[in-house]
Amino acid sequence: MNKALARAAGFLRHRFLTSAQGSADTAATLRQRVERLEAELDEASRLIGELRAACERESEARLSAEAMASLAISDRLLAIRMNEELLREVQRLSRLLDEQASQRPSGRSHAPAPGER
Amino acid sequence: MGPADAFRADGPSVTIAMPVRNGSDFLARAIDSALAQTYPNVEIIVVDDGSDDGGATAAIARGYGDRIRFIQQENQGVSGALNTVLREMTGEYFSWLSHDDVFEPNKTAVQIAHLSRAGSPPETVLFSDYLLVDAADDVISTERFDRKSLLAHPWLAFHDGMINGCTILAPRDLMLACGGFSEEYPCTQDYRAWWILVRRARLLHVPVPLVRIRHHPGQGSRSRAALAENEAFWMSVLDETDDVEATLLDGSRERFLRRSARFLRFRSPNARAADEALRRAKAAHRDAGVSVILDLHGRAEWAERSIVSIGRQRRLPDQIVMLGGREDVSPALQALLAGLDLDVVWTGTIDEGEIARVRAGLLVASGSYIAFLRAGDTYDPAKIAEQVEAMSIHGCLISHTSYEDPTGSVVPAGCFSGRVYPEILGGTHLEFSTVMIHRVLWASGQLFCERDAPPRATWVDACSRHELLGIDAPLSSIMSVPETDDAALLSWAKSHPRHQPHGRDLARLETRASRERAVS
Repeated sequence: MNKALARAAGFLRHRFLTSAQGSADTAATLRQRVERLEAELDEASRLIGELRAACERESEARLSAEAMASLAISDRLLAIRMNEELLREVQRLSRLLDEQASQRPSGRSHAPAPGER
Repeated sequence: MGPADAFRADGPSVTIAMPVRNGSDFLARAIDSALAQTYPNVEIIVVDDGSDDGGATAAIARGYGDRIRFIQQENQGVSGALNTVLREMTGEYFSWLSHDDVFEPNKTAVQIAHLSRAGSPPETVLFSDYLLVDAADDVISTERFDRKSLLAHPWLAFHDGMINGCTILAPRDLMLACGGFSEEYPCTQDYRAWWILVRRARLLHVPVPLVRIRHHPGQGSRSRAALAENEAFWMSVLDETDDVEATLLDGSRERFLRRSARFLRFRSPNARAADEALRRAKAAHRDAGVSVILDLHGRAEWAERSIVSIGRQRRLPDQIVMLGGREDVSPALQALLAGLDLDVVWTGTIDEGEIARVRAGLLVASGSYIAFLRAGDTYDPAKIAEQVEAMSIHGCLISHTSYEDPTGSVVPAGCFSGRVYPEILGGTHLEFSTVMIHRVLWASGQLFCERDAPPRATWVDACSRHELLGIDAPLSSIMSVPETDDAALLSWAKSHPRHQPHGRDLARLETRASRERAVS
């Protein structure tokens, strides 16, 4: 929640507390208080609407970020699996080369491993 | 919803597949919920899979007129009916609604919105939380899945049984590419399909209950035949999950098997498969393949003592990868190696520095666990057994141990453990001959990637991403202290922005590098 909205929430709490006091007033002052409360209710509704919209925006942003992170992690896992399959294939081919080399009557005594010169 | 040509153009089209056989009791509620989707671009296909209820099921479906597509076929099982939909559907995305379950009105809309939020990536399968309801539609419970666990480990969705078929939304083309639903297995066809999907697709969890799954007496999936098929399926999952997949999920095969046993015993009725998982878990660290990479570079004449120490291991490795050529060692040493009856692989002589040498070794290392040893250094007889067991239990991908230095004193490096980054930048470094890794680290492209980096940099990188397991026991002996490369490490660290925030540790490294320069 940003600072402006935090201030708005504080304002609402404060207004609620100060409006609730003074039950022994006269009819005129009570009318005034009712009018003021109605005005404040409108203001409070407006602020609550803003707070709700901010919450929804933040929730939306969080869901988006989570969805993107989840996909990135899925992609990483799939890439690791694929890399492992490639490594195993390299090893299989390397062994085949080794076997072929050992069957040759002359030449190298072993097949070049990946990276071998 | 009208026929396919009435599809509207806003958003991807979705087909809801509704297989049904003798389902007159709940079918109308299910179809109503499909028709009530707030997402507009939906096609509904009901497949009557050979109902023999005197036409009651067909009558209900026909009552909806052209708002749904209705197909009748000979009984082929749920898989056959779902495959019929896959062939017939015009939607880009496939979703499935059992005739006795109910979609929430926003099911499709929420999933499409979630997909769109993530940028509508291809080959993505969505699944969601769900509600369990009884025959009277009363909610029994809400199945909410742990978002944090799923975020870090999306495959848990499958392995912990979180995917309910009626919550998925999957691209039609992907489903077809994966072979659709297996018609050989009437009771596990769905999980067999997810098993294939999760291995090639991205998984996206929607953390909202979007479907009401009905539990009621007489469900086919609770029959004895279904339980036997289920058990056999989960046994095959245990068999076919390779070490890398298991380790990516849980840190080690042992931990994967223990977690699977808990799932199979307590959250699905598969006690026999659970027992089997537990039996395998107990043996997992003994069954794991181990490779030792022995670096001969510059010290080939000292290799004999190293090989003898390997031969004396309480638990022999499965493979020795010799970083060097046969011509580097004496015939006597070659005979010694042959006598060990292990798989010995030679990389040949590589003169491009330690990084290139070790990379060549890692390329041919076949073990799940890979230990390193410099010629002249030796292993304690318990080294491989204890280090593999500790890594397997703790689920760590990298470990090291205390060691004896050239004077015979124990260097208690094993106490350096846990989250050691960024301290590792300026403090304790890992001795090559004490380190053991799981091959997942290598397969993840996290080791020895930068050819010009000092070798120690790779351990710093690995520890910046993973917990280091330190083992207190001195399980290696170091013949000579290798030359320090603090200055090279400092220069490497300074050139990588990710290390810049750790000024205090870089300052310590700088002090060490200055000391190194002064000594030299």
